[in-house]
Amino acid sequence: MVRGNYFKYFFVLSLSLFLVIFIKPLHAFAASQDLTISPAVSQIKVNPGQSVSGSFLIINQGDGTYSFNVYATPYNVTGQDYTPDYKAIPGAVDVSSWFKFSIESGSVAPGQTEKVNYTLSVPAGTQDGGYYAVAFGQTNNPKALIGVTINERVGMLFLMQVGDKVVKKGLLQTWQSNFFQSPPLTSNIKIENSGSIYFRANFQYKVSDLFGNTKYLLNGQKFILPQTVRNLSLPWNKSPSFGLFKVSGNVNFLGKNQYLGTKYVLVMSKAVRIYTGIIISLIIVSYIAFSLGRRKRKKQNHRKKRN
Amino acid sequence: MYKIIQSRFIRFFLATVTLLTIFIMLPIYTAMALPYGTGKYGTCTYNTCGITLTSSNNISVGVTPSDGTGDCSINNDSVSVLTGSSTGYTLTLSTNSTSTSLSNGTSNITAGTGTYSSPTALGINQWGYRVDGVGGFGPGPTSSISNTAYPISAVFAGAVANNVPATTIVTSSVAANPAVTTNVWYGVCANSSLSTGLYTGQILYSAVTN
Repeated sequence: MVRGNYFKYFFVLSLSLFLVIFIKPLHAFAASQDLTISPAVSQIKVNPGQSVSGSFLIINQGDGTYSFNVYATPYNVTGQDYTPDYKAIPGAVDVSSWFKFSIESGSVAPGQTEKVNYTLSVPAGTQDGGYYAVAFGQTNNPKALIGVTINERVGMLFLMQVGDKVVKKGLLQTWQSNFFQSPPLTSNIKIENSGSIYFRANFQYKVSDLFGNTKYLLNGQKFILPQTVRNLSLPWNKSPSFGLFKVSGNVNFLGKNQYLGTKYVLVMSKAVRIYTGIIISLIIVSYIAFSLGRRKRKKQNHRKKRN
Repeated sequence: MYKIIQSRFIRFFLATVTLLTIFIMLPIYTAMALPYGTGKYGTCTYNTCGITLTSSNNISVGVTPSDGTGDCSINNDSVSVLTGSSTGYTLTLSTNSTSTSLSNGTSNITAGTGTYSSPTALGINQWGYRVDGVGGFGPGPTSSISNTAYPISAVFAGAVANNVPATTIVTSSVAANPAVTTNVWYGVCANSSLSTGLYTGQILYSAVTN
């Protein structure tokens, strides 16, 4: 009766402890200024010596009037994570000088929209290829008497092809998803553009469980600039703290569709790893104790037989 | 006696295995039951989507040093980006001039020496920013404080000037619709060696689709 109670007590205690620790979500698991520019991206094809016109909107969806400026900057990226750089590269063509805007500064009241017309003039003799710039709308708040004054700017990205003699070339460099990960489950796709003009890559990324049920599906697009490798980091921000999953997908660019082979990922948070280590250690210790006990019993039985 | 130990061991072993089985299967089952998470193409094509940035006009981070040792204060700005563009966006931060200091005439509170990847605790008469859960800032959570004795344990980065590449604080591979909000915390530590007065600086957020 005592042994039975001990066992029941231990089991209930273990289960209770488990429930307390683990039955909780296992999956991980802001006066303001409101500035909008629309559209956010423009793709343009223009020949050297020619001009093209268009427009964009500056919209104030906030609750206060603010002044704004409009200007253009070059657009470059550094690193495979595409950190943007809006500064001219020494020796490179300063694309921002190609732009003229109908409004360079103004004021927009709450709920109001300002239409900004632009003319993009490509100098004659410009080499054929891709050129990239951003047209910014920037708030111009006066410097506050105290503290940190916040200004913000939103940009319209210009992806420009000048001329026809461009080379479109690229490849899928890597598809990576480490087997053992802490949440969030993250995979990476690297795409290389070895041509002279940008291209757009469409991708689909899927996370499913061992039974094939889709847990996360992501469809996206990215621009890949020439002579760069772009790393697309794809986190599943709601991944649980523990689980075994399959990741797969496909990437489509330059008229080719490439399948991303299935990979398995074991997600374990730090806490789960600690608890798993403790339990495995307990099992090992138990097995050792059991083996020692059995060996001792065999010796005792052998001695009895001899006696 | 051995039989008692053996039977107890067997029960213990069975309990452990049961525990481990539940431990493994329940999370997997829970993962199966998780809500379906999807990323969709934006409700607009990338040629027609806009991008919206919302933040405060001004952040006040007042410090009243009580003695020569100094005090620190932290306050936050909620920065939201909304875009339907399926290419996502990048949000960067820099100062709005070539200066990285908070200034009061010739007296300055200099930018902290930490960086986004390797933030550090603020030194005395320094200021900086942090964003929980990104870069090297750690998970937080950060909260507002006012005139807490120096030093404080939270780590900060110094904002870069606008004549160098701005620091990326958030980047997204998918549309941000509904808007995605990032809390940017600003901290200042100062002592009474600074001239009394109002110190000001300027920050510039930039949001562009990827």
